[in-house]
Amino acid sequence: RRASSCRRRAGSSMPEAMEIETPAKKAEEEKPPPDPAAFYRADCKLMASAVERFVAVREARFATAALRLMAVLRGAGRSSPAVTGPVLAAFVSASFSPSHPLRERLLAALPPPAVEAEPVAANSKSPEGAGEPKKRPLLPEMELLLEILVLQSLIDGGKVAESLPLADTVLERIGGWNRRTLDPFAERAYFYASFAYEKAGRIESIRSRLLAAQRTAGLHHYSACQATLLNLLLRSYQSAKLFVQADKLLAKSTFPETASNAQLARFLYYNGRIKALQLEYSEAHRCLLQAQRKAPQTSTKAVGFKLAAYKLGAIVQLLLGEIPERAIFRASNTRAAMKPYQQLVQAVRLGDLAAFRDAMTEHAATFTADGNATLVMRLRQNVIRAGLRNISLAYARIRLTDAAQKLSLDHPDDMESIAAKAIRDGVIDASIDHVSGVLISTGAHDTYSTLEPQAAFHKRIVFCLNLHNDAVKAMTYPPDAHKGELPDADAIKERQREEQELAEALAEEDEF
Amino acid sequence: SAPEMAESIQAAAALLEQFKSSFAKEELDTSVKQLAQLKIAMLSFSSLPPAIPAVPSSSQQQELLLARDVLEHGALVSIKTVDIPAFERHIAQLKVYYTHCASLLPESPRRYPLLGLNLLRLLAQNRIAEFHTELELLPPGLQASNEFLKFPAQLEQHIMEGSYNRVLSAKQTGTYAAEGLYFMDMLVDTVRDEIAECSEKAYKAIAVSDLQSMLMLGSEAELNDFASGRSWRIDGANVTFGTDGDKPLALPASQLIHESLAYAKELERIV
Repeated sequence: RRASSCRRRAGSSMPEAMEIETPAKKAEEEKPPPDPAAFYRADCKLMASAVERFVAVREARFATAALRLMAVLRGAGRSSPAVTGPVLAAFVSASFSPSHPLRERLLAALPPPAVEAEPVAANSKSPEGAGEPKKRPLLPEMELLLEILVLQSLIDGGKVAESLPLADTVLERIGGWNRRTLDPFAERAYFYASFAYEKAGRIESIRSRLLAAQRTAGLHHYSACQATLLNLLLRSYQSAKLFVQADKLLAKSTFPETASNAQLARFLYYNGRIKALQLEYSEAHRCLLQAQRKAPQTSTKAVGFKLAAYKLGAIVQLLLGEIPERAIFRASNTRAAMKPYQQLVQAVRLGDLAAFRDAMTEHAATFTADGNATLVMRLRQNVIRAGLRNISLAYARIRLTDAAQKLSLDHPDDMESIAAKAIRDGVIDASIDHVSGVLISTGAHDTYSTLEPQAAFHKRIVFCLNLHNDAVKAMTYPPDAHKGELPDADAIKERQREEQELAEALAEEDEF
Repeated sequence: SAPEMAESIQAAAALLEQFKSSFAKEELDTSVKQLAQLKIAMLSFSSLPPAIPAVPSSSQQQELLLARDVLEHGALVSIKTVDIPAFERHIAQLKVYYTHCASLLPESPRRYPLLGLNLLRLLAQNRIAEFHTELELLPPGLQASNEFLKFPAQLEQHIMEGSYNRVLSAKQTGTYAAEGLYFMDMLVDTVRDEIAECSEKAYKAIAVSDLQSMLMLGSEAELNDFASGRSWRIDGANVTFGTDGDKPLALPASQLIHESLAYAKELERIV
């Protein structure tokens, strides 16, 4: 680890380079300003060493370091593809041996490799400039990472059609290996392969392969892959609107508990959407609330996901009869996107059918684009109920025709049966006089004489008790606290020696 | 086997014509028998799902077209003979044709009526979650514009809102007056029960004639049967509902006991 952190300062702070100070210093003075190509190359080498450490030691932090470096490389590739493309090609041609089946295909997908004419090479005494000291065999993990990098450069460069065959090959290669250390990298490979197909608009063609991969990942206990694959499958079912199949998939598979928060957030979102379509609104609300909490909380990250979760969450809350919080609609970066939904919330809160109709016609395109159109249409009933509730609270007696006018119903003669249904469902507390066509509200009675306070208290008590139990379960001792009490190996040996001497002394005494 | 295939297609096409004519004449027994024969003939077709070729030749296209026609008419026959499981099976098979073969075959004129009938069936059987899932599968613009699909969607909205009189009037005038009669009857029965329940809660007393028109019952005798079935009282011109007077609020004793015991147990655990 220390060697790699030293190597980060590319150039002259190597202990070997210190021997030849004058030429090294001169080379550094003549060195051009920081070269993105050099940084890219250095990052590639760092990534390779991190992967090797991971395979050797199996500690998760090396895998996360390697993946983080891959993200950095992708970012560099996106911002300056002309510079990084040749460097990547050079690295690929250096890492893959000439007999490797994929070498030619990968090199064909990239711009021609850079010639290794960097300033460090001029300093011929430094071992860095002498090229790779020895050809290390290419680990499958490293190969997978390089293939993913090439795939990403194709997708980001807009060459989606060419990325599809590469994606197919990557999936086949993963299927050929059976290594535990492949799990974190294979997960990224599946994601980008599915992403390539989605960009090409052909997400159905990859579905059966993802299903097979999910079964295999379950058998091999690749928990990261299981989580990602389940999310990718749910996403592909949702885009094709095959909610029955998605529901069946959910019923048959389990989401692994050790998955990262990002995957868990996605899973909860898809789960919430499926439940909302099946009219299970409270379950959907719970899932979406958790998804909103599991998403990264900083306001600049994952804005698109949070917007989708908040939009769906707002609609589900409206369908449940609650009004969503105002904070999301006010925040500066989400305000414009949430405007159509804000109009919906206001229409439902006031019970204004005319405003609801206007919002629907004005923003129909937005709702369809978000995939929420059918759910929004179900809100009509809630608007009518809210309006009816307001009327019943405000008037002791009101003619049904007047009530219909206030609600601006399309067909005022439905008012009587709508009111009757609302009374039966417990939305309002009233009775109807059919002969005179009047709605008579029974006044609000003392709530404390009913069982409602008890129910409200019960909910809060159960929540607090659950919170307490969870906190107790989550308590752990600090990791090294027990070591102070346990004797270490030397003390144990010391004690055993003393006991042995004592036993011998006792035996000698006995002999006497 | 190409000439054999052509022959079997010709034979099946001829049988289909006979079937259609007997169906038009409402000879249900012969229709059902011919349908069975047609299905046996379809067994010899080689390009039916799931083995649909990506680019079918003209004879394979004919096979697919014939099979789709057979299934569509089979669905219509099963409605006439009130065989609802058979209708469900036919629709399930037809859905494959409508989704996967949409690009290979010309549009069928019976597609939307049949899909609408399926929606109506789900609504009548009170399977609302499946109804909504089916509705999701339709492209959004189609749902608002197509007459056959708009009808069940609007019915569902009326039922959710509670404008039941619209549902009852739709039975006479609706788009499906001919084929959907069975489903509409089922729906009307469900709706009638709903109206009765709502009326019990909403009205203290109501005139017999008004209630009869609200429930759309043909005569007073039917109303009497209905009322005695739900234990309403009819005295003179008015109907009063059984649940009058406030019952004293019953204390849900066992629930409260359970809750209190749970609190005690949890509190004891706190060290």
